[in-house]
Amino acid sequence: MIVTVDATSPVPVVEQLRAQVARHVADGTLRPGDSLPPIRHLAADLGIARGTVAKVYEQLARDGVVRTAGRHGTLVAGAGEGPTPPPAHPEVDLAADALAHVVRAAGLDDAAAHAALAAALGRNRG
Amino acid sequence: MRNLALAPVLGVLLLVAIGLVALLISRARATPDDVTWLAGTRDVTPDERTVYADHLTRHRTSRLWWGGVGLAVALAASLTLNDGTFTVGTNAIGPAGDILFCLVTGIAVGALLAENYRLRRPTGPASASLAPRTPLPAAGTRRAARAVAGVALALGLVDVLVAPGARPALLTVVVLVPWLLCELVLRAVRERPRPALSPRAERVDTRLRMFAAVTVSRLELAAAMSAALWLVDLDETWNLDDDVRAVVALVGFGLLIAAIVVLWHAAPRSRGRRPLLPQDAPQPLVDGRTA
Repeated sequence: MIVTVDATSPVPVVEQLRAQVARHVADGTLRPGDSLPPIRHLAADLGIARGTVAKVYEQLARDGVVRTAGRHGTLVAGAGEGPTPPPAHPEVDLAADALAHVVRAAGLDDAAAHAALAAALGRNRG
Repeated sequence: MRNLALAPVLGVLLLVAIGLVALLISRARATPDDVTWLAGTRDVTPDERTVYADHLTRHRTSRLWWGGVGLAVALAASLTLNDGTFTVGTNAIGPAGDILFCLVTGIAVGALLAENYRLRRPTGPASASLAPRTPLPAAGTRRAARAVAGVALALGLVDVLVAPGARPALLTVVVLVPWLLCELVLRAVRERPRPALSPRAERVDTRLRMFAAVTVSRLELAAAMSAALWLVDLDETWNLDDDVRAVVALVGFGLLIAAIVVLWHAAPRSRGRRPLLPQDAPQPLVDGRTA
C-alpha cells in the first residue's frame, strides 16, 4: 500500500495521489472499511502540503471511493457506496491518466493524444 | 565573609559536576546491548545498528546536556537566592531553586531537541505507506500523566481563587511548562514522517517511535507529579486544621518520591535490563547471559 508522488512530474501531485489511492481501492489492496492515514500524517510522510492531501480526499469522497467518518477519519467506501468500477488493468489506467494530464497541460487536443499513443504502441509492438 | 565561605563549596561542587558529566558522557554511547534493547531483537543489520545507536546516543547526549543545564540553574539559584541551601521539591524561592523541577525541564527540552532532529529529505519522488500507524505504547502512563496534570491545574485554579494574586497564577503556569514540553515531544513523535523504503525500515522507525514514546511518557508523568507537588504545597497555606495539613504534607512527600522514581525509569537506557516493551522477548546479552 505504497503511494509515490513526484513533484517534478507534469502530472499534478493531487492527481498522482488521487489516482494511486483509487487504484489501491479498485484492485482490492484497500478494502471497504479500511481507514486512510490522517491528512497530516500522509502530508508529512510525502513532504507535501496538508491542503493537497485534503483536496485528494475530497475528490475521492466526491467520486464515492472513500467516505469521511467523523473522528474515525477517512474510510474506504463499501461496495455500492459509490461509483468505483474495477479496472481491468490498473497500471494501464494509471499511465493513461498520466498521459491525459500531460496532454491537457500542454494544451493539445484528443486527436494529438490518440496519435501519440498510437505512435508509442507502434514503436513498442511485438 | 559569606562569599569567602562559599568559595570552597563552589569549588567542590564544580569538581563533582565535572566528574558527573564526564561519567555520564562516557555512558551516552550506545553499546550492542543497548541496540538489542532498543530493537527488541538481535536480528539487526549493520545499517540498522548504526541508526539505532545514533538515535539512542543523540537522545542520551541531548537529555544529558540539557538536564545538566537545568541542574546548573537550580544549583545557581539555590546558591544565590536560597542561602546556599539546595532543595529537591518545594522551597521558598520558587521552581528555579528546585533541583527536581529544573532537571525535568532540562531533560524535556533535551528530548524535544533530540526528537526534532531531522535528516535532510532526499530529493526526487517521495513515497508513503497507506497502512495505519502502530499506536504509541505507554498509553496508560500518558493517561496518568494527563490526569495528574489536570488535578494539578485544578489545584492551581483553586489556589488562585482562595488566595487571589499573581504568585499562585504564575506558579500554576510555570510548574506545568515541563509537562507541556513533554506533550510537544510526544506530538513530534506521533507526527514524524514515516519512511516507506522497506518493511525493515518501517520496523526500525516504529521501534524508535516506541522508544521515545515509552521514555517521554514516563518523563511526562514525572513532570506532572512535580507540578502537582508544587501546587499541593500551596494548599498548606490555606486555613487548614492540623490533620488535613499533615495529610497534604504526606501527599506532597509521596508525590516527590514517586516523581524521582518515575524520572529514574524515564532515562533512555535499560533499567535493570528490563525490555523496552512488555512484549519484547528477553534477549541474550553479548557475553551469553540472558536479560
